[in-house]
This record gives sequence, structure tokens and C-alpha cells, in this order.
Amino acid sequence: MLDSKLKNVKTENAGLRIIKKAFNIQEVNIIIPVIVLIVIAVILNPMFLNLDNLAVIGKRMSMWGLVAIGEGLIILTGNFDISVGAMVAFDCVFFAVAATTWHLPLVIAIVLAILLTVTLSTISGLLVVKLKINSFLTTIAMLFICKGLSKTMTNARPVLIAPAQGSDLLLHFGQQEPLKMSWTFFFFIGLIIIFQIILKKTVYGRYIYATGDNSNVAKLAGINTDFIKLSVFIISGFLIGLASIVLISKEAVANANYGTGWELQAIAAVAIGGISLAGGAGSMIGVLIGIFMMQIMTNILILLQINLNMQSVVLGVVMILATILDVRRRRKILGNID
Amino acid sequence: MTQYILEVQNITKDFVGVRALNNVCISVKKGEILGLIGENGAGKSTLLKVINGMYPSGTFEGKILINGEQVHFHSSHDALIKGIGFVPQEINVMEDLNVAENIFVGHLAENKGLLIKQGEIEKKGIDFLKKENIDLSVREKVRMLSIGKKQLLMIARALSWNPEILILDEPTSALSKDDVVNLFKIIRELKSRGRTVIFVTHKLEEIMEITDRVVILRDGLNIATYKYAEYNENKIVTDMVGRTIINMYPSRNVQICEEVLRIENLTVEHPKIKNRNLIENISFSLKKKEVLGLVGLVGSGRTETLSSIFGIYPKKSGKIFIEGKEVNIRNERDAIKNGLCLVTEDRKANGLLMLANIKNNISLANLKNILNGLFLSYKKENNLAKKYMSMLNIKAPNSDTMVANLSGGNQQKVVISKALNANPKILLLDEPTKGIDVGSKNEIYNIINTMTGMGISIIMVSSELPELLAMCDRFIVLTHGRIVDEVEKSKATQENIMNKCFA
Repeated sequence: MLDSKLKNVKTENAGLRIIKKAFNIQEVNIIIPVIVLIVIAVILNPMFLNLDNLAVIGKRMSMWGLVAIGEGLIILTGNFDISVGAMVAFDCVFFAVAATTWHLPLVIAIVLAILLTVTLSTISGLLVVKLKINSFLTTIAMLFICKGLSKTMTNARPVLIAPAQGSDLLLHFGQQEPLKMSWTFFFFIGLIIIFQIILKKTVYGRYIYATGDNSNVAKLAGINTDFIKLSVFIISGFLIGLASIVLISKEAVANANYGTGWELQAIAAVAIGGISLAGGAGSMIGVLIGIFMMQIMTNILILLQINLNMQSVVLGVVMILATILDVRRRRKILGNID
Repeated sequence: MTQYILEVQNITKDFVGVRALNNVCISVKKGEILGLIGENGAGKSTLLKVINGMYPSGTFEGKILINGEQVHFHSSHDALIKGIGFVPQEINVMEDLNVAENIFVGHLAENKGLLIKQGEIEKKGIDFLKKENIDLSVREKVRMLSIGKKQLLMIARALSWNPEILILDEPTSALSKDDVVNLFKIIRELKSRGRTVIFVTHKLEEIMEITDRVVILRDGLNIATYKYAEYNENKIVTDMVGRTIINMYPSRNVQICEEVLRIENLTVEHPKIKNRNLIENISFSLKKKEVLGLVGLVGSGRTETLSSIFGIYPKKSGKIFIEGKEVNIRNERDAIKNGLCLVTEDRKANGLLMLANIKNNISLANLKNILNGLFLSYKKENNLAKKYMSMLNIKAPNSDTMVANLSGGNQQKVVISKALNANPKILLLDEPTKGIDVGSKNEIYNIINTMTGMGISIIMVSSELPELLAMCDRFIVLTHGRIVDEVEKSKATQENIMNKCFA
């Protein structure tokens, strides 16, 4: 069906174009599905717009959202990290054990916890970049290692934080809710904005896009693609550490089952939000929108009182749709290069 | 009963922002060899995709008629069944199957039983190749075939459907001179058996040699049609380009200066075969503002020489001196730091970020240039892109255009802009005009001349001898990874250079 609009270069209305240009955002097209989702949610259960419910959405979103930021960066450079959920679990457990069983001061435990995830991610990154092992394989291995270690350290039982010195300070901090919204939400949004600026407005960000788009071209242009690919793993490791500390400060308990599925959610959010799963295209705003959509969907399912297992089914279907969208998008740009 | 076996009437096809075909009408007579010529970007590929069903009915305006009857294709398979065979430009064969399997892979469903009998396919293959008089052996593993033979295989595969019309899309781009002669022989044989051939190319000499009629496309329009008796090279070029090219190879008046690059005893090991070297003991020098040509047959080590100078292949031994000082080039970053820049042969694989637009590609190698303090300045980037787009005459709606939507010639200009933007002292060009239309080639030659005027020194690799002879000041001849001779422009002719290549 030949759309006569194709003849015009200016196909979008002026308003959208201005927004796109101002924020250099390509993802304005995805906001429409988000609005549709919100409308559906409200119709299904008007409680959706209840401030408490929104606060819950914000809180949940901002925890695995931190992890999704890191995952987004890794995917932009053309790799994957399947171990992020398991790393969160391991880190929470490690922190709890360090603060209670090993009686380390709280601050030291926090620092060590973050160092742990940074180290683990760096190891993954080095294996991928220097030994050229496929990132899927490397990080699946890391996933098993982390899962095993967390189960071992806890003897498969949850670890309470309370006995640790300074824990009440941490927990008090964790429960703060400025403006009725969890402070982690603002923290998360802040990081999204920072990384959006880094991606779009800095040399480093441009190098990330180039490396993911075509690492040969990037190398020929003088970019140290090994460094770029490794650096995003390290950043992701740091964000995972932060997410773990935040999670503990809210839950007060470390459980080896934390973070299960977070990597898949992160990848789904990233794909829905417009970061191409093959690397080289997308932005943090897109990741934010993807995270938002995933969280709203989960929330809808909870409000509809659908059980957890069905939620997995929905996640699976959403991932397939997201992948189809991604492939379509790439084809449109690359013009069906088969 | 109409004498036209194929007619396309009033074909119009649009992409976002671009009208690729504009009311194109073409008639093909049964049994003729029709040439379709035009610059890249003229609409040839698009027209072919309309005819062979890759753009299905409904995605364009206009009619297709076969033997007077209108047809609608919903896929390329439809077109195949209706008698339109297509041989695409890129070599596209299944390397690990044998010749017979490659030919009949599309027909396996015709077998009534569930199992495929190996022997049957081979027998079918032998019979078929004999009938069509094609020089291929069924058992040969395709991976081992030369490019010329692989292409022959693709033609055989298309012929296995017994098409009345065979379309060949730029068939000679990967072929040696011998293979081309062979290909033309086969085309003439097809004609003598009553098949119709549509031969698409951007090379004028091929049109002159093998076609009965030619249709010239430019900017999506059918500009003119000529019968063989009317063929006039200059007229056809003018039709193709839209302007008269007075001098295909522009002259250069540049003062060559002192030595800027010296290579001593460069040796690079073969990455896979032990005790074999890709290039051995290569020594030469390059003067400032000079254009040095590397000549040789395919496999003689030209690309490897450029790549190892640029640090892509690790050196076994050898020294590199830039402006008299020895430099250590271990990788691409070292090369760029020392003022080198490489434009590779394959722009889609190694030259451009295909997911990005023009301005992001141009700025990539020198982002420092567009910084405003700590952050990138979009304004500076836009201006930079504008500057290069006008300097190199890159045709696109604006600098936000995705490079994937540009024609080959314009894409190559973006690659060259990117290299220029890095302010190189020495530019290494590997087949800079490969797969590019006549008009853009001429523009690129002018750009090369301008660059030398700006102080850049160039080493150029090209398989088109006339181009090299016209553009270079000096030639180095390579065979089997070694330098066999060095020739000044004044002493070089097509014959003596070619002879040296075979030494």
C-alpha cells in the first residue's frame, strides 16, 4: 500500500520533530505504547493511579533499573551479560555476611561489596575482550559461579542484616521517602540522565556507539575498542554493586534468590526501549521507557492478581515481541541487507 | 501477439524522501541482450528488484507484462516461476555443498519421496550441465572454486529453472579478464538458444561489447535507448552522467617534495600457513604530495602491504620511517597518531557505520574537532558535515541522512570525508573507486588531486590499470608478496606494467 506521505521528507508533525531535535531523542515513537499501557492499566484497576501504587512502581523500577542501565551499555557495545541477576544475589549475600558474620564495619562492607561486583564484571569483561570468548558463554559461566557461591555462603537460608553494627542507620536510610517516592527512584532517574548525556554528548559515548555498530570501523578510526568494551563491563559492575546495596537497605535481608530474572528483564527492557540487541543504536531514554513499560506490565499483572508464574509467561511473550520489533527496526535502517 | 517478452510500464517507486524510479517504461525484445546502464543511485537495482519480484506487487506503481499479459509477483519465487531468472551481484553460493547440490537446492521439493538420493542429484547435474554447455564438474566442492566458476555456478542455478529471461546484475565486478571473456561467451550462447538476457552494468565497455540495445537510467528516469548501430560512447556517458565529462582523469599540477614515508624490509607472516609470508622484504619510499600506485594481480600482496603499514597485521620484521624518524606502529591507533589513514576496499564492512548518519560518520575519526569544552557540539558537527558534503559533492537531502540510504559513490565520498577529517599526512587508498559510477569516479579523481594539493601523500591500490596509470606519479609492482619493479609515470604503459605483474 503506497502511502503518499512517503514522498515527503517531513513525515512527522512539527511538534514531535521539535521534541526530537531538542533532546536528540529517537524514541518519541515508543512513548505512545507507554501511554496506551497506562490507559489500559487505569481501566483495569483505577487503583493504578493511587500514589502508593505509583511509589511502588517507582521503587521496584529503580532497583533492577540500575542493573538495566549497565546492561544497556554492554548491549550497545555488542555484548551481553547474562549474569547480572546472579551477581546481585551474590553481592547482597556477601554484604550481609561481611557485616554480620565477619563483623566488618558497615562502611567497609559496602565498599567491599561494590568492589566485588566491579571485580567480577571486570573478569567477565577481560575474558570477553582479551580472550575473545563469546560474551553469552562467559557470562552464563559467571552466572553459575555467582549462584553457587551465594547458595554456599548462606547455606541456602536468608541472612538478616539486623545484627550488624550500623545496620539500623542503613535501614533507616533505606526507608526514606522524600515526596512520598522512594529516594532510590530519584537516584535512578539521575543516573539515567547522566548516562544519556554521556552517550549523546561525549566522545566516550560516541565511541560506544561506533564500537557496537562496527568494531572494525571503530578501530580504523583510532578507537580503542577493547577498552570501550571492557569499560562498560566495569561500569555495569559498579551499578550492580549499587543496586545490591540499595536492595539490602530496603529489604533488610539477603537472600540467595534475589535478582532472579533481572538480567532477562534488563535485556527485555533494553530491547523494547530501542537499543538494538545487535549493538550500535539506542539511548538511555529508550532504556528508561523500556523499564517503565516492563514495570507497568508487571504492576498490571499484580493488580489483576495473576500469579508469579504467569508473569514469567508474559515476560517471555514480551521478549519475543521486543525482538521482532528490534529486527524490524534494524531492517528499516539497513534497508533489508540480507 | 506482441514481440516484447517483457515490458515494464510507468513504474514508480518511492522510499522515504526519495523517488527511486520515476515513471520508467522499458520493453525487452525476445532473444535480445539488453543492456541496462546507469550510475549507482540511478535506480538500476531498484528496477531489477521490481522485475524479479523482490519488491512485490503493491509496493510500487505501474505494470509488468510478460508476453503481453500483466503479471503480479508476490515474491521472487513468483517471478522465477513466470520465467524470470536472476543472478545477483554478490557471489552467493553454499560453500560446503557440491556443485550439483547448489544448482538444484531450490528444486528439492519436486522430489515426490521424502528422501533425497545423492546419486540422483549428481546425475541430474551432469545431464543439465552438458545440456547447457557449462564447464563445471558436479562433484567439485564449491569452496575450492575460483570466483569466476562460482559465478558460473550461480548462472547455472538460475538456468535450472529454465527461465525465458535471465537478468545478470553487475556480473563482472569480481571477475578476472579471462573470466569475463568466458562469461560473454556463455551469454552469447544463451542468446543463440533463444533466451533473453538483461545485462546490468555501469561499465561502458561491456555495453559496447556484448549488448544489442542499451537503456540508460539516471536519477530514476529512463533517459534514452539506443540500438547497437547507434552506439556512441560519449553520448552514452553524457546521458548517464547528465553532463559532459571532458576529461575522465583530471590532470594534476603539484610540486612533489621530499620523502615523507619510508618502508624498509617489511615482512608479514601468513596468519594461517606456517613458513609462508604474505609480503616479504618490501622496501620503498613515498614523497610528499606524491601519488604512488601499488600494482599487481589479485593476491600479490597489495592490500596486505597497506594493512601492515597501518598496523592491522603484526610485522615479522621491517622498519617504518615517517618524515625521517623511525616509528613503531603496533596497531591502528599508533598508525593514526602518526598521521596515517586507511580507506579500505569494502566500505560497507569496514568503511562506514551503517547504523549511523552522514555527519556521525564523517566526524568519527576526529571527535576532538567538534568538542565544545567537555561536550560534543552538534552545531560544529553539522557545520563540519556541510563543509565536506559541499567539498566532495555528496548528494543527500541533509547530513542526517542515514548512510545506508546513499548510493555507492556517495557512500565512498563519506568514507573519504571521514579520512580527510582526520587530517592525515599519508592516505592509503585501497580500490577507492570500486563499484562506483562514472560520474562519482571522476569526482573522486578530482578529490585525490585536491588532496595532494593540500599536502597529503597517497598510496593507491587499484585493479583498474587505466585509472592507476592516469592518477599515479610512480608505480611499484608486486608479485607473490615481493616487489619486482619500480616505474616512473613517464616510462609506464599498460602493456609493460601488465607484463611485469606476471614476472
